[in-house]
Amino acid sequence: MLFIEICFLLLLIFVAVNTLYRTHTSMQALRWHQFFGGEINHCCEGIGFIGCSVIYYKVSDISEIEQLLSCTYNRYEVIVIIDHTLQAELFATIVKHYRMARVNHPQHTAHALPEVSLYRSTARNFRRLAILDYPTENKYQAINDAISITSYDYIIPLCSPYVLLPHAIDSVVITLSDSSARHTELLYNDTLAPCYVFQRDSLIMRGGLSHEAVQRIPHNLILKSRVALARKSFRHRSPLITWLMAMFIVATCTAIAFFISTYAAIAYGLTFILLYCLSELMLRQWSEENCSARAVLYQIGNLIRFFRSIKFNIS
Amino acid sequence: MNTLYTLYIIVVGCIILYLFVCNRRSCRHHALRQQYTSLLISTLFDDFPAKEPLSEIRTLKNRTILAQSVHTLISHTYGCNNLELKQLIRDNNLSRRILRQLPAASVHRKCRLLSQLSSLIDTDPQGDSVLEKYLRHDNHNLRIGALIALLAANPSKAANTLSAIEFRLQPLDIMRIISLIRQGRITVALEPLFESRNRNLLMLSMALVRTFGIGIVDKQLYNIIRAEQDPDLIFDAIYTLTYLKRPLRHRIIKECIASMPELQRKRLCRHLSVEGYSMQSINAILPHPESLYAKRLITSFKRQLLQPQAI
Repeated sequence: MLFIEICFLLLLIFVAVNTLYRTHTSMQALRWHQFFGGEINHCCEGIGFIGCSVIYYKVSDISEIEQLLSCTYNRYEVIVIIDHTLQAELFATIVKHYRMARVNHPQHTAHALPEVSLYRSTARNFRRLAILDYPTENKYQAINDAISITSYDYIIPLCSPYVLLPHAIDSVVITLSDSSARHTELLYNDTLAPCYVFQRDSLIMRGGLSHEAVQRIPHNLILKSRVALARKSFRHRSPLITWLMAMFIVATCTAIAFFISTYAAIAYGLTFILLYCLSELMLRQWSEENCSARAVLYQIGNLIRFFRSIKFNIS
Repeated sequence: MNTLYTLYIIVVGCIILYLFVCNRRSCRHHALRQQYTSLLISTLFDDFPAKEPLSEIRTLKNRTILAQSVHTLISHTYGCNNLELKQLIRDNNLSRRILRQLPAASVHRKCRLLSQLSSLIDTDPQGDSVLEKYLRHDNHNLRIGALIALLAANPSKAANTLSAIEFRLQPLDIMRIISLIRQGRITVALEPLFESRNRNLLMLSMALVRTFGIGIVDKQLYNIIRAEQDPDLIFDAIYTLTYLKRPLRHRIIKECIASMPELQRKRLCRHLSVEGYSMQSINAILPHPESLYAKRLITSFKRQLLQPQAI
């Protein structure tokens, strides 16, 4: 019994210390980011000629595109991949709203499909938007095809329900403009949600985007950003199974704590409150919205995944 | 074992309490900062300013918040050089207080304080020696913070201060200086910058050309491409010419582009496509594989005419 008590206490200490450390580093990064962001708020030129192209796979709502287009950095574009056969209504809405016109699609990849079409906006204020109508389930192939029409040096592949934070592009550009990051091939962050920034040409040289794309890049060319870049959008209801799983995990841990001793149960309860406070603090500081209980619970799950590997995956 | 658990409970409890206290304090400071900022705006820009005692702030914390509010106001306005603001800064002794806080602060706080110091129009004359000390600091962010504060404190000596620094300016640092220039807090003459052989001054001059779209410096840009050995400077000069939408058929530019690594040429090719250069212009300066690549990119911006049934 003593052994279980010690193990449980050590586990709680590990969780608390690790979470505090993560929150502290993240908050420090936020402070630096806010400082630099405030210092360059009068500049309208791209820093160090760095540009970013966001490739958004499987858009589920027009508001996601709206949010992506709200970035004010000048060397930036958004390429949305959508299948008009599956999302005909949404596709028509996007085409009408952004006044999209079909343009020549330069298909030069080995697996180019004849039914793929490219659309660009004819509206002056949406010039940075392109839509790739790609009727296939092969997500990596679709993204690789989208990469061929990107205009900038860094690629940010994202998929619904993840969205970029408003400051994300500024932060990426500030980090990459430093001379020490000149040879960086991958910049990533997983504070609120995983987000990967690939260098375009090196990504193509290493065989394009796939679930092994990160493994192909040498470790010395990978940079971890402390600044949160993306967050999960919680507009849609979570499946019931997710809630049941979360409740089951919490209930099991509570039962184990009560089984050990009352002190262990109180310690467990306080650790959970600490996790909740830190998660809410992080969410409030980074995104200023979306602090629902679901978002906080998701963030708790995100915070306590300590031994995660860097693995790129579009799901 | 219960003692260890009790100890853990006390520690975690204290941390949670501390988080609550910090949160409340941060909310209070935020509200006070907003109040001071609106009072400052009212004092400076309204015909009938609110008669609030901004010059009679007593506590140190509130004066720090006032300095932050002044910094917010100055960094979001253009040419805000008001006598009333100068008087307010003098009454509250803000610059001297910031200089006094500097030695004991952490690196991040030092950077913030230096940034605030650059916003205070009435800078303490003793501050220059302190700032010059930070100009030789190991930390790059502190050096830049001190440089910005020095530039703001002595706007007439901006070019001299910039030419005297011994470290390389990064693109972000140049943007921070450009930000100062855009706000009208310092003025620099462009021609002496171009005449200098100093790398930092040349980089700044080209950033100025790009930011303000100054179209009378082609000769100087060609000179940089011809005379300089630093690839960063040459790269910047070519990009500046593209920003000005100038033709790139000059022999020296062609030679430079030909000697670039393939990836850099591809990058330039993408940039030219985005900037709206025609296929003819790109063919004239880039070798065959890259011009083919540019052709594909430029084609993707043209409306598809072969399928009229499409949208």
